[in-house]
Amino acid sequence: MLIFDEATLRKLEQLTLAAEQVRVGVLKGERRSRKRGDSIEFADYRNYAQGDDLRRLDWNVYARLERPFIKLLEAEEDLAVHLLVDGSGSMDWPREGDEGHKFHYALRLAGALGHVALTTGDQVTATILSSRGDGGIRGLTSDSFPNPLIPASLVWGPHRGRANSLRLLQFLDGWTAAGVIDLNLALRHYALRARRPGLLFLLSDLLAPAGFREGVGALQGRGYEVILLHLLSPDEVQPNLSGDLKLVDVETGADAEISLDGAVLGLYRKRLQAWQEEIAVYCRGRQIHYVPVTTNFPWDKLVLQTLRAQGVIQ
Amino acid sequence: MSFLTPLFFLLGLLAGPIIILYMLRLRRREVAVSSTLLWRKLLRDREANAPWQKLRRNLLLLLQLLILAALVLALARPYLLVPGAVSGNVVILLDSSASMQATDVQPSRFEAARATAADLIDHLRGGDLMTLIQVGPTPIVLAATTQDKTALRQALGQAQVGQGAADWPAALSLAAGAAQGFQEARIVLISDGGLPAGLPPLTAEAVYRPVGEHGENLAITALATEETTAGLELFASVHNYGRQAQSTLFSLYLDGSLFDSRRLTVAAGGDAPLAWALPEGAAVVEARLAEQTADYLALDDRAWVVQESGVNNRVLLVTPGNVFLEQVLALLPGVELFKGSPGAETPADDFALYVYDSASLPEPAPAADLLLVNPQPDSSFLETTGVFSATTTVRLAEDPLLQFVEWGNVHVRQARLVSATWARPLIEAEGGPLLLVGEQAGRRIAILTFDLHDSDLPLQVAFPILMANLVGWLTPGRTFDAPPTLHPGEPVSLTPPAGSTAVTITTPDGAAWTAEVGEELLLFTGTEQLGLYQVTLGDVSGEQAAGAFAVNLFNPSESAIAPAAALTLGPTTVTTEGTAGVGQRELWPWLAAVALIVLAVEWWVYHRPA
Repeated sequence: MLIFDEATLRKLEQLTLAAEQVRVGVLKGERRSRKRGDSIEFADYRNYAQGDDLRRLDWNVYARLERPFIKLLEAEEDLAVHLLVDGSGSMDWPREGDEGHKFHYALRLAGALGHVALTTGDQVTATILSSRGDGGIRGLTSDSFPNPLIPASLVWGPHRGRANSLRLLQFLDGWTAAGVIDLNLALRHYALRARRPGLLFLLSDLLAPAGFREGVGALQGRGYEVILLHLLSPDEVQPNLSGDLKLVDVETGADAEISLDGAVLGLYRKRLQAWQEEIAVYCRGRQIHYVPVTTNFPWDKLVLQTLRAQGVIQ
Repeated sequence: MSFLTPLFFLLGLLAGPIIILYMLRLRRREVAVSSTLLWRKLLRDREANAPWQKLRRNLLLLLQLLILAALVLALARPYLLVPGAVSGNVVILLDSSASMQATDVQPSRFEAARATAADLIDHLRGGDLMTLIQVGPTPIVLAATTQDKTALRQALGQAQVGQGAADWPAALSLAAGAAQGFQEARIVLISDGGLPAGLPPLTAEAVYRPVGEHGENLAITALATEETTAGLELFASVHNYGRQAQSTLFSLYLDGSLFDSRRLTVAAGGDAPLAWALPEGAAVVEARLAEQTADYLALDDRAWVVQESGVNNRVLLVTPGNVFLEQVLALLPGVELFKGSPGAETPADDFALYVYDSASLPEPAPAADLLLVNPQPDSSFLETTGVFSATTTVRLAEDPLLQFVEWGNVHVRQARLVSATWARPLIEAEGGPLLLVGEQAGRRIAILTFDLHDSDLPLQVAFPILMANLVGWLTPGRTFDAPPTLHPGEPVSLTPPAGSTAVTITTPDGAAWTAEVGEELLLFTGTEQLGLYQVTLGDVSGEQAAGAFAVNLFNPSESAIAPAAALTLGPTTVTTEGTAGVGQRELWPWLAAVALIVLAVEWWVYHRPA
């Protein structure tokens, strides 16, 4: 299901992930860095200082000016791209039909973003935040996870190179979302674990009772640039419910008794809108890209148009 | 408060199922959602905005239980004992006699009684029947055994107070008939008392609702004229029915103009007799009382008397000698007898009636009514063709003239055979008619075809009766036959003279009653009002006044307006007290209304927009 068709792939391959605050690359990447590096692109000259590598001395300038100058070249660096997919129970929604399924949508989106990153030579780490109970899926056990601090999360990477694109897609395929996840805790652990902070895509419905702000704050504190893709299914935006109901949370099992009529639904929509606005205000204040997504919105359009318009993708 | 059907309280157990159903209903349909996070926030918001939202569910349950309680209570039919109400099959006797016009309660006793009856109608229970009887000179059933309060109120509105005495025996028998065959029958007498003694006991329970407060009343209890040797005298009497002495101005009007006034003081319970000598020719005498200090009944403050004009019918008897006729005619009231001899010159005066006994009629015959006894064959308008002796009576006509005449013992030796085309035989014998009457050329003629000396008729009781009937028919002295003291509601018989075609009576309030003169006896019964009734006769030549008659109250039991504390009906005494005075006021309609209102509220609460 994560296999993209040829046309989409071609389109995706033309894209580059853009980080506003470029991180120090470990390996030479395909993007220009603000640092001076050793690529073949000329950047600037500076005076020779003792200890500089003589190989970088511009002998031609020395011959003309009889003063030693070091030729500074553009450093090309790679970007660390982190894809965090919320795998909590609430992401497994809606239950009926694949139409607008949040988790599937998130995986597909992660695949697309990962493909873009891998294609541009960035280092990609894909993580599915999951609860411990699902660790056994596809034969993976908690022992195989590199970081014992988030034992239940499924991590792929870091890998680079477009050759890994297919492997990423294979990794993302076939998971189910279930269980309770403390988003704050999971994000904090992820932040602690970070070896190479970079551009971090968080794909979540943010329906976590304890919230997500602490976790996002911790990520930012470690130097991550966070892009928040807020996924909500159509029936969460426009609930198709009525009557006297006992609503049961599929993630936590908690229930809420409510009598639904047009007025209450109107109130719900207002409440949802206020919630999203609140998140948007929070994110704007912290230089987080906040992209609310309704999962019946075509994902390729989202990647090719909306994220581009947001400046996340060039 | 008590309950008529307390067994229905068992339905209160339905509260159990309601609560159980409610608890079942509280098990809401479970629906899985991705997260209840937003919904919880929503609930928190709503509860913050409307604190009673939490109570709303319970409110509905409370309201439903309230509806059930109201309905169960209504079904149990609670009632209050209302001291004013009367229940069951109620017969209301609404006194509408003259004394109910007393104004000691405003606006009048009758209106107060009407209000009492209206109150009873209002307190009527759902299944109760009511009969409304107006007790006047002629009792009228205004509404018969109905539950329809609207009809009862309408009937009550039509009730009118009369000016005469009430006919209580008739009213009570009507009431007994209305109450017969019903359980819980109650007769309510709304009256001020004044019931005659000797009434039959009531079969049903009776309640007395007294009306009236005071008994102060001065009344003219008598007004009459009498002819004495000294001339015409008027006697009057004023009675004080109150508890304190009162003075009044007694005024006398002769034919509409003031004749005399006297100031009287009448002691409590006392009489003041009065007498006047009236001038000749006074026809209508009216007496009025005025300037009393306290008099709550105005009806008996006026009285009228009509002095019959002293004209007696002048009768001329022409006979060779008949002591029987002379005596019987002289004894008849209103007849002034003159005698003449056969063959002598007929007096030139006009006589109302000519009696020819075995005498020839003069030529021309007098243009007046005639009584012919043993007619002579030379009469111009009848034929005498001999005599017959077969006088056994074969037929007596059905005629008012033969009323009370016992003819069976009368024997006649021989009679003349008389035939007249205009006459009809009243008494027929085998050989021919013995008595004929008829009208000829505008006069009435009666013929006895035999000589009184040839029969034993003068010795029989039938003779004076027959003669009185004949003379009364031949000389209708007065157009109407009204007794000197005519009470409201009493009939007046009218005997218009021959030739008149219509009789018109103008009542005191100006209304005219007209009747065509025909064969049958005319009876005027519209004497409900007090006052003078003018009689007018109409004939071919026009209309002419024919006198007047007066209707007076003159009724001590109506003038004694002090309300009675209790009524005596046969051996029973009906008081205002007693169990019958307590009615049941059922409350279920209110409870049902409460249930309806709460139902509406419940509906509104359920569908109330957030």
